[in-house]
Amino acid sequence: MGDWEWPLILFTVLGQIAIGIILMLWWLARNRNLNIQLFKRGVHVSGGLLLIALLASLFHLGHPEAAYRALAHLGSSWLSREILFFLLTFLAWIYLFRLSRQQTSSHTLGSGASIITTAETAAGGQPTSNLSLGLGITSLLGLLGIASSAMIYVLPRVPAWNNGGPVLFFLLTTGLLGALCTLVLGGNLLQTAQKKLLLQVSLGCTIFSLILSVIYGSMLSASMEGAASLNYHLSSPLFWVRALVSWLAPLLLLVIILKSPDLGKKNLILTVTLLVGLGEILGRALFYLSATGIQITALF
Amino acid sequence: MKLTRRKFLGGAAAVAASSMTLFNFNLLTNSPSASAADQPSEAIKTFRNVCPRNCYDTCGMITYVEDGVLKKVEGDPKHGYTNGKLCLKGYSYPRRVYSPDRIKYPMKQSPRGSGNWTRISWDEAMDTIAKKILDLKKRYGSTLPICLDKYSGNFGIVHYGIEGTMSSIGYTTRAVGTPCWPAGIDAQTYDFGTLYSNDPEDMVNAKYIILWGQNAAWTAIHSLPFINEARERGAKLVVIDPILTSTASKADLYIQINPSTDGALALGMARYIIDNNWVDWEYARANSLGFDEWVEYVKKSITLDWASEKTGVPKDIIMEIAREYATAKPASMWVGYGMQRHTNGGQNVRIIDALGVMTGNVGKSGGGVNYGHLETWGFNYNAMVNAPPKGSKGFIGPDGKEGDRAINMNNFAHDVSAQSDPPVKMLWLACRNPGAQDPDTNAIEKMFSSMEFVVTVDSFFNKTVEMSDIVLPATTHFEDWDVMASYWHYWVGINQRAIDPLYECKSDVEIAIELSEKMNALEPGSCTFPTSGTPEEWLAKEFNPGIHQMLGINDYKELIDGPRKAKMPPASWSDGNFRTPSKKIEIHSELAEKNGLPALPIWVDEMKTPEKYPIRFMTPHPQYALHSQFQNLDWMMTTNPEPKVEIHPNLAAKYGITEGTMVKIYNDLGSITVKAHLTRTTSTNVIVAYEAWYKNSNFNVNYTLKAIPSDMGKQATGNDGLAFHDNFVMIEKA
Amino acid sequence: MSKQLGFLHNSEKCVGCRGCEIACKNEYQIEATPQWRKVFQLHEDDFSLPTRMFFSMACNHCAHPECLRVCPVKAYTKREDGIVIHDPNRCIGCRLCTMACPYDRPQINPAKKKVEKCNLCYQRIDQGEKPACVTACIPGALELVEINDSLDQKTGILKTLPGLPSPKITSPSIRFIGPKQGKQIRRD
Repeated sequence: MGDWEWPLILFTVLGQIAIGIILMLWWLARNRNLNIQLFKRGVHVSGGLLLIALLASLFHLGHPEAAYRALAHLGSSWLSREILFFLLTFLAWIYLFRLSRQQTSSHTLGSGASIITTAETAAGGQPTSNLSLGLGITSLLGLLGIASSAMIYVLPRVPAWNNGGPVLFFLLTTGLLGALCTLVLGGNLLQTAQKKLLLQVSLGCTIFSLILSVIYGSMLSASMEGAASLNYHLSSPLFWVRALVSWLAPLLLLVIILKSPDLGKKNLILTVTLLVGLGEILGRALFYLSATGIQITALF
Repeated sequence: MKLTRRKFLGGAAAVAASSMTLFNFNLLTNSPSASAADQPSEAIKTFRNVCPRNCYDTCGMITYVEDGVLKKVEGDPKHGYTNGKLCLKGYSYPRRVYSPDRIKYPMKQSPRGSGNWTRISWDEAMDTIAKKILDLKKRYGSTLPICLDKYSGNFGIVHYGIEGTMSSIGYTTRAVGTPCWPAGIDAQTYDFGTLYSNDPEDMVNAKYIILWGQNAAWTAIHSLPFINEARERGAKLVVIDPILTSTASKADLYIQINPSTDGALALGMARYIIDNNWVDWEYARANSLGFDEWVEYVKKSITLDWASEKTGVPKDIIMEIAREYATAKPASMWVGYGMQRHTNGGQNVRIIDALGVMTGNVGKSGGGVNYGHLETWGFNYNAMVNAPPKGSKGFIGPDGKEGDRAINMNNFAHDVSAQSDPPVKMLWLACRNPGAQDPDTNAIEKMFSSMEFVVTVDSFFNKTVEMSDIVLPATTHFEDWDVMASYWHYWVGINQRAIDPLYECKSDVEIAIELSEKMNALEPGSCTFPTSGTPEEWLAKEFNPGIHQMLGINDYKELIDGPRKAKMPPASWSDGNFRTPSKKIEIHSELAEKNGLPALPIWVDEMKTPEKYPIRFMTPHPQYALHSQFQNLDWMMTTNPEPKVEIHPNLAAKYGITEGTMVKIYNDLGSITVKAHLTRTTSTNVIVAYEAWYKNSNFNVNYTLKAIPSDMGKQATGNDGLAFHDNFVMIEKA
Repeated sequence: MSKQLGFLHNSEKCVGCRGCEIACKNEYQIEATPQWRKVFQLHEDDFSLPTRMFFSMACNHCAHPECLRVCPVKAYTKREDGIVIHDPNRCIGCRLCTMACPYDRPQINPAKKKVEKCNLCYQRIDQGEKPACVTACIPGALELVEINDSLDQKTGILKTLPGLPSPKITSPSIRFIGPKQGKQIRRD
């Protein structure tokens, strides 16, 4: 069984939130109605998270000072590729950051409405398409980074990981926490339709995550080591807390929020986000803790 | 031996670069140190050493030293028995020499047992010890209140200087005997005149091999290649042992005998051999006394049914091994020391000896009843021999002679406490750890606490050191000159000083010199130990023409070129010159009879299992340790981190014990608690834990072990042995 | 790659003496952990009769080394003779190889915070010597061999033993001669 891999838990979860936020911003920007304040807030927050994530990852290494060498084996090491994509994501983020500064200067004295509308685009033109492109490229690189992260764990030695599970779970975390965090960041800056969409994404991800987990769990029993991982989950109180706070609670609360006429109170959305955040961190901790490799089973 | 050796680290420059990558970031990965470190080192010197532990194999070693630092050890390829290889203990030596746990300086503990150790100078240590000795001498009129307990921690010949230290201060009290093997020694002394085994390398000529309670895989691993070669030539290997050992697991036939009934099995075999007339009458009658008398006994008193009932071995198996052993000529038997650690152990060895004689396997290459020998130990023991100071008062023995006062090493706690005229007040311990190895640890602890003063010479803070006032740091054999012989193979090797003594460590002779200087300064003439001589000079004084001739050398220095094998025939007793009073094999031994033992190798009942304690607790030699040595080293603690007791699953189930359960093992004497390992390598009424001293652990099998004597040992070793394996206990979940 | 060196372990001869394990430590003066080589005891339930049977295992210098594939810093290289070498100078202690190896043979050195493993004594091999473990093996149970089809076609050569991961994962360069049991007269 594995260890509490705090650096890796923080790196993956925070990195996924950061990229999730950018992905949601890109998605919101596709109709050119992304609120510029939200854009700025999102870029700043995701950048901060990305930075913390990258720093956290260093603590996993025995020799963080030599971390740069991790780029050396792009040919076959998903860890090298992960680092490459995350660094590229960060570079793309710097571009977004520059855009966010430009947006600030050109729009603070605007009409008071801080929505990038088609009309404004007609006037400004270039910045908005740059912004969408920037968000798109960052999202894409980030998603490649997340997929690479997940691929690191696709090890023939670890049956529980040696499948599509890690990639799907990592992407689901990205979608779920990305959408929820964007909702929290957006608050009133979001249009009702946008809110609703983000809530629907969150609900969809939760449902998908739940169904996927059930299927995945039933697949694990196929191998001895997989069964050990499954047993570890089922017998761990952490798993049941995780099930409660990031499956059951969000299912209920998100449905309630979606059914309420004003799409819920701010506090309720914040609560869901915190619960899911906690659940995902526990889930990630369990991901490492429950890892059981095929190993020599002879005596000592 | 010259050697160029590339350092391990940094050899990567020689490694072919992988070309499987899409992108090459070699600038990132080329490490600057890689090529720089790849220089062959010319500075490595090699030395010859010999492992001095109490072990069959007494291995020849080559020690690699660079800039005065021991870098690694290897087996000496010029040693024909150990053949360039060491055992796991031997390979762990660098870790022993440089263990952070080594005792580095003289230290005193106040009060004793408190763990409150302070470093003192050699001068202070010697001053304290010398004054104590002189004080006791003054108070009691002799040095008899001082008791020495030295045994097998280092079997180097120069280490007999420990006995010499005591001789040089006067007559003292001495722990006499050997806990290991005396019953078997006496058995062979009664039968053949002494113990004298075939060259173990000669086992290749055997057509049939019986290992009788012998686990070579753990205790004499260098014998295995010879056994294996015999097997490759067609020999069958039979292992008779209550425990399915690693050796037994490789046997063609393993017999799980009822403990302590080996003589009954041998008698059953003898009966079947007589019935089928496979007896070598000619050899037996020509070379032995009382053979026909014994044959009559066997015919009259022994039946196969009885033997089978007694031993738990089916009749057809007794018949099978009897036929095979008697008809496969030559057939070799190796009697392990564990087998004689019973109340009838010596007698069982005598019966097995008779089995060897009746089949004509004694005195034959590829044969023998092999137990051990001391043929190669004819040194001067120069360091041991010192006249007592003038006016020394000694103990008047039963023979009226004045001398040292001998007490029983195998009942040490009791015998020390029993002395009254004068009482024992001070202990000197060297090469010995009674706190870990003696029976009845509680009694040992009590006895130690009654002492006025305890000095221990050792390398580690073991149980005995914990009970001492002063500890003196001993050198390892890499820091000493010495010479070592084996009690199993025929090789003798020199032990060079490979590295300077570490810290403030001294050899036992150097300690004696220091003590002598101090005592004579305080009271001139109070110590006769010579105060001059380099360690190599002390070594040189151990050689004599007899040893030179036996080894085919003119000077001890020739041994620096390689160990030498004694010029002896491969088969012991092949000349037929037995060393008994009658010069024949004494199947009927009047000496045995005189000592209150049966004259003939007849059956003597084994110790009965007490009702209250129905489980036999066997505590044989460990794999990772030699008694209390080695297991405490970090390499050993990693590979074997904790002691376990082996329990048969059926027995475990009775007490609700499962794998890993902590088990309390107890009897009237005391108890120990240890983790259970369930295994069918033992039987349903025998549990097994291997004796050893683990770091930071109180594990000690001897808390439950009573000092029950074995039947023999007095004749040749001064005291009967110990029936270590007649220990009975009860178990429960802790 | 011109050939593949590897180990042939004869469990019929091995008595589990652990000489190889400590000889390896002695040769390189390795800290207590990691354990480059380790002797394992087979479960007695895997045999018709209880027994003490063993195998000794270090890095298996796999044909498809997972450690090499996952290592981000190219600390691992595979030589022309198939030896998989780990260069601690390159290692940054990410421990991914320790997760990827089914035999747990690359291990972290807690003091150096880097991974170490058996490099098959390539310096000794380059000088025509045998690896330290092979040299130390008293019963001759451990041999350095070339892993190839002609070895695999010999009778009695096994690719795995009970209690070992499937060789399909990494194609380890180790072969076994299985343990053999004699007759036992038992009291249970």
